Amino acid sequence: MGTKLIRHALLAAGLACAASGAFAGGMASPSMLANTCAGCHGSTGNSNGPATPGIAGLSKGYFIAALLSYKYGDDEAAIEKVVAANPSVLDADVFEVLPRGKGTIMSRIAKGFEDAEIIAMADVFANERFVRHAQTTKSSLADKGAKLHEKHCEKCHEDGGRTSIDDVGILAGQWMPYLNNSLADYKDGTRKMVKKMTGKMKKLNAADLEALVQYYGSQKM
Amino acid sequence: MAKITRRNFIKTTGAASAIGLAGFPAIASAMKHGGGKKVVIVGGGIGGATCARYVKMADAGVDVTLIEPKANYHTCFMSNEVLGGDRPIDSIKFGYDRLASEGITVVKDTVSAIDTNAKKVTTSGGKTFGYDRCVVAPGIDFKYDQIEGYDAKVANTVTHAWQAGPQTATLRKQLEGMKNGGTVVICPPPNPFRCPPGPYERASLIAKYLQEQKPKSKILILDAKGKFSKQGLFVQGWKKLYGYGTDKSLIDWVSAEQTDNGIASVDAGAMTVTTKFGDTHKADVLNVIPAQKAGKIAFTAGLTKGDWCPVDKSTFESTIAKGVHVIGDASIATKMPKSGYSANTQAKVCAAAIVAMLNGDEPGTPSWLNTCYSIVGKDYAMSVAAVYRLGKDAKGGQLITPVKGAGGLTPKDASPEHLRRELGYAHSWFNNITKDVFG
Repeated sequence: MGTKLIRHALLAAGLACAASGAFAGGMASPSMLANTCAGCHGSTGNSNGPATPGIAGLSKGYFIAALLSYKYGDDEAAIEKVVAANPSVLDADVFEVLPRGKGTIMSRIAKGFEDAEIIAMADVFANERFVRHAQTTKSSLADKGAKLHEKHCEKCHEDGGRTSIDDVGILAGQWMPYLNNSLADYKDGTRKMVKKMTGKMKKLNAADLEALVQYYGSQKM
Repeated sequence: MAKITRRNFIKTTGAASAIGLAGFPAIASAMKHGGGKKVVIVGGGIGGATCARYVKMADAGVDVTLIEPKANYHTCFMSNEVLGGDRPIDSIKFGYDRLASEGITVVKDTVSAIDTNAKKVTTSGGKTFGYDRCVVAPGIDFKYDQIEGYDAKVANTVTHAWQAGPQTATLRKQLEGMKNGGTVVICPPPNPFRCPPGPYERASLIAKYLQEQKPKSKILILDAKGKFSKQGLFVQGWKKLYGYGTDKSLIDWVSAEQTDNGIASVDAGAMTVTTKFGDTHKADVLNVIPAQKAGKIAFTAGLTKGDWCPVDKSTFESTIAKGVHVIGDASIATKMPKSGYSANTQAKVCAAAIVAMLNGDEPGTPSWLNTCYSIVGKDYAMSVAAVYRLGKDAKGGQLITPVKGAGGLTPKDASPEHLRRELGYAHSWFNNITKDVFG
């Protein structure tokens, strides 16, 4: 369970605090900021579902891109400014922020955080371990999904969608209603995809996508 | 210079965090420092239980004791779904076993006194607990004296159901037993009170039940206020789902202007309620939510100013008694609403401050958040959110200030799919916050 992980985050923050002496008045510690997310995303960012995604273990790049997208919406100039101001964190050549729509409360919440706070929280969650929960799935569909994943998705979503390497979202063990919502948003254009994913999605019909979701939901380890 | 690929970027991040871990021995000494120090928490609701866990997780060396009279806690949030018949009452019931397994001493008893000079807490069971820091999280109590004919005893039949538990079950039973064509009267309290949108979500979910099972019935809301939380979105939902504003509406809202600021008296025998204006209404099911104040122990311990407890907003330490912190509904945490999520993030700010203080450090900069989902009907929910920072009011005093340009309500033009998803997020919020609070 994640209690150890919370302690780790709190202690790490305590350490940062001790190192910098008194920090009253400055930016809140990374764990102070990240702990406010737990109400919806679970302690340590591990959601107990059904619809809010787990955010533990997301790469720093993925987390920052998501939050900047929610915060700035279509304002590309603002996002470019953030990237330019943080060259040690964000590599302008590869870092990409794609619109995510306004369908969730996140587009309201992300505006409440400074860019530096977003980057600090990204560190906290990148250091947490993503916990996969048992979900009810159909094995025949999951098997079909496994094959589709291998053929169409594995190249970017490595290790069966388990990792966030290359700044992709964690798919394996992610909550299925969340995956369905995301896919629906990709399909109707609310959420934008990278170019190579757009091509792949054209080859997948509704039944294929259902099988993929079943495959991801079936992964518990 | 070699181009940093994303993969290398990850590796770099990993290396940085490894360096961070090398600093861990410094933490061990910090733990020793807090070791043996005693934190006593009064009340095992959302604020109290969260605070207990987050103190213990931040510094396992601190001796944390939680004193709570009830064996189980029923969350007020989602209790309206119980009233609407959408979830069993046991699904909002939580115990303290996980807290105990995490090394927190859980004592089932009622705190009868807090000696803030001698730094000790006494229970009605005759026990005494010394403390270095005490956290008081008693939630709310009711101002029964403001409604004639209404008191704690009458509330067992004419419920308020504003502390979830037995009264929630009673009110649900009364709704189940009501005839098709009956009238449910809900009397919301004046400000400030626990869960500002709660009475209107309650009306919504009872309306959903009546529409499905007893469509000739209606709900009458006799309000003490002229406007209410998320009013625009509730009214929009009521129009869409329950015919609000037409002569066939399932819900009728009577504002403060028409009641003359609420109800004056209740006749439990006759099942009538009379407004301050003088109109008497007959009810088949009557739900009276009285005006509120801080929980009893806050008054006994002398921590109140008016109805609530003034605190230093950066630590939640009482401005009246040193070494005592007050969190959640009982505290004056303006501009945060009295909500479960507020109590949860206040408890974390308080826990971090207490651990810092016990270790001889300055408390850090606080950060708070509140999101509040309200369920209006089938596949229909909406929300309000705010991120808070410590700011100043016009006189230079502390003010927990919502970040400008952030937060706010579900848009009025949200699609049906958006509203359906908000219901999923509401249930996710419930699952996640209860696990964060009770383990």
